[in-house]
Amino acid sequence: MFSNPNYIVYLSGFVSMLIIIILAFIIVVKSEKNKKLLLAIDQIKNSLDQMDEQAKLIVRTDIELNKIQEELDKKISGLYVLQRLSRAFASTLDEKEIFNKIKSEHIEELGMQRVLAFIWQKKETKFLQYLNIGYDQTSLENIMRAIDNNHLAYLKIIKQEKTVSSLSNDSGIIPNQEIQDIFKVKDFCISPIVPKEGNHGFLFVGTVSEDIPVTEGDEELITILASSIGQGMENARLFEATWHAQQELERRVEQRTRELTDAVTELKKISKRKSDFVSAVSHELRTPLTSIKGYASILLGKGMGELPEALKERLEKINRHSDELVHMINDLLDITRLESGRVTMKKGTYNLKSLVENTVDLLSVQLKNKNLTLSSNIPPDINVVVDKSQIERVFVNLIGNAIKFTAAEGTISLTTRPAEKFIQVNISDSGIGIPKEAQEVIFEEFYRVDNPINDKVKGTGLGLSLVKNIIEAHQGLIWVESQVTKGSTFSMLLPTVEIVKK
Amino acid sequence: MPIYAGVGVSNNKDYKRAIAEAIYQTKNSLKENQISLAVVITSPDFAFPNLLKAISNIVGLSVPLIGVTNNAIFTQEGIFSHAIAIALISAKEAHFNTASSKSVLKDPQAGGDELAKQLLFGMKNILRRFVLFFSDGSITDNQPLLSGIQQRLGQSFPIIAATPASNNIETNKTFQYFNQEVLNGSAVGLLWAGKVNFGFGIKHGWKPIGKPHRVTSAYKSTITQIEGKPAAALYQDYFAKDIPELKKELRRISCLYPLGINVSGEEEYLLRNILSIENDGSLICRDDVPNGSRVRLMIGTKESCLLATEEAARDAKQNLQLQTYPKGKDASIIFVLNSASRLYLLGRQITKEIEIIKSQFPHTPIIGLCTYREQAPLKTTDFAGKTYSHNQTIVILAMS
Repeated sequence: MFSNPNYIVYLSGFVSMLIIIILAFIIVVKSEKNKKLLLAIDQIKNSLDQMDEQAKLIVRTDIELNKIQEELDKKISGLYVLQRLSRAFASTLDEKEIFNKIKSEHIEELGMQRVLAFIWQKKETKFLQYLNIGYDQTSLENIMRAIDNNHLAYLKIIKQEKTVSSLSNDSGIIPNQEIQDIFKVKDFCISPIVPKEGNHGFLFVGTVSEDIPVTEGDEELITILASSIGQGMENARLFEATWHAQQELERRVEQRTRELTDAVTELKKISKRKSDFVSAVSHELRTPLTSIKGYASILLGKGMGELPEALKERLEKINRHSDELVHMINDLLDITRLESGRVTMKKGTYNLKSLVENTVDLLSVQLKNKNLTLSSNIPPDINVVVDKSQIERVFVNLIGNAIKFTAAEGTISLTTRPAEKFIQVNISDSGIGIPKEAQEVIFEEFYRVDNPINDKVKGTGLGLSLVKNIIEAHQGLIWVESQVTKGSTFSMLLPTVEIVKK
Repeated sequence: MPIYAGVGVSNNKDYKRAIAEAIYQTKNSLKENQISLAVVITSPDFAFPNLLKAISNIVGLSVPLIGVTNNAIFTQEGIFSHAIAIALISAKEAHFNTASSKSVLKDPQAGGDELAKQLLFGMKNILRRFVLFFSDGSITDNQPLLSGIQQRLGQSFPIIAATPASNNIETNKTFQYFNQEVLNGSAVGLLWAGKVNFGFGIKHGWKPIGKPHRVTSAYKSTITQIEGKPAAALYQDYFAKDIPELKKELRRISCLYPLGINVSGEEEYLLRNILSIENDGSLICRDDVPNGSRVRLMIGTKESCLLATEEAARDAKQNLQLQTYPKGKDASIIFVLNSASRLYLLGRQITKEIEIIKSQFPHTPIIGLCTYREQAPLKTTDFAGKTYSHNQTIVILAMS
């Protein structure tokens, strides 16, 4: 069978056909697979493109979010800087020092690269530079020249009280390009510095890098900074004004005090001269007066024999008037001694009630003669630290006066009231009272109230002056309250404990 | 412990007082050990020779000093923008060389070579461990400088470096300190050798988003085309903004949405900040982007950023412990190189990074700075790898 050539040819043909069929089948299958693969590649490519589109969306969103975050971070940092600067401004009250507080690190933190501050000087009619961060001397001189040449425009910006920036230069007073050229910046903010009073100015901040733009947030922060500077300047101005006023006040007080001290010194000198004079005269008067009184006594005595009645009467007058004169001179001497401090108070602790009762006993006859009622509510347990004899003189004078100026059947009352280290003793009467104008001068020497009783009864006018001097020598106080026809109350403060004289 | 170190910081405006205060704070950690090295980081307002003279007068005129200026100084006490931070290191058993190169602006490659040459002086038969160096902030292309160093030290020698951030936005100028000299346009560094343990971690925390794209035309740090279109079209497409609008928001876009270069076999993407967008649609990056590389837009959040800090600190700790015997010994000092972009993203939460580092190294003094670029090997466990230029990362270097 295999030797038949035809058979071999048929078989070869069959095999070839089979191979062709198989190859065709494989090609068809492969082609299908390729189609599927191409489809899959297309799908992957599409997915990749879709993902790329999504990536674009992501980066676009991300950059916007980053911008917001950046702006937020910048604002927070800016606010921290402003807080620190505000504190620094508050710690100084010198106008120029306020600008010195602004350092380059503050400006860096605010995201700025150049800062200048100019204040308009009304007198010199020019802008003065108060702050410079980021400019060398030559650049600064050029800027100042440009500002001087166009100062009216800058004053106009200040007058508007509104921040102008490369972002919002609506007014167009100075075109953006001009500002950028003068200050050599890409972006800028010009914010007026406007204290309530005093010189106004402006704060300039700028950036030189194209990729550091000034934002709305920056505008707000710079406006706040300029406003803080203005507030600081205002505070400095107010402080300076207050300080000057205080200095003037202090100067005036010092001058017045000096004048007053001089006057007091002069017064003391005069007072001393007066006391010395009174003292000298009193001493000089006392010696001849003693002789007069002595001779009058001898003449009145029986040693010279019986005198005619008329002579005796006149001698008795001489004797009585001499006594009054001696009494007056003694009072005067006491007053001058007390005023000059030559009298030392021999202080001891005494019961107030006993002191008063002793005095009342001395005056009991006068009280009885006028049928006056004297009441006393002085507590028995109050002790005063006083010179006994001097204070008794005070009570004798005051109670004596009360008896003298109170009509018969009247009343006199003695009361007390505690007052810290003192006791207030009040001596009230239902007498004729003291007119208002007399109350102010009643304690002056030789003053006598003009009233019918004083017209009739003789007096030296030294009693109340003596009383005042004695009370003051005890570091106490005396005053009077009175109504005419209703009576008077003399009140005094007496020490209950030892008072150390300062 | 072969190394003792203390870090002190002061923001006193009077530099003499600030120095005294900072040095006083180092006493506790340094104890009675003799000072071998001073590392000084200050804000630019302190960059004058008298500062360095005053420090040398206190720590000793023969004590080598290196340092830089920076506008965000990291220490265990926090982050300072106007301050003096001084790290005093006592390393009796370890060897180190300090060096400076003043020609890195003119000829970075030659400058790097010169720096490496000085660093290697006298280190012939000593096991060299790693180099730490700082370059001027105004150096735009750092790759030749790095290549210059690698030519002498070897491609896989561990180099940890930083370009400090500047507060001079126009020039990016910073100052470098070398002994009693205040330099600029220079690089200063130190090479550690002998008995010194170190471990570092480097992370950024940014994640890829969107499709991968092929760089179809690029030279050094300029990407002209991506997938045949002007490179800026990528950003225009993602942010739906035209070029002038993108330019306005460049800082934000550059810091928050850098480009990530896929490095084959690595999980981490190498990030690139966009420094500028040209009118023809080219993107100028902070560092080189290889032609033909696959790049993706990257996105980061505060959380991912802080998580990266935690991972970097953990890596540094683990790597240090792998070398340290007995294991578990504390680090003596931590150097932190932290990208300025991270500060920008974290905003007011920036101090959390210090807290995170302190949670891993509770009693270790920290000194660090804010950077424009960080240079370190990509792998931290197998650290003897090629050193790359990174953006947006935090490098935590622990030494003991």
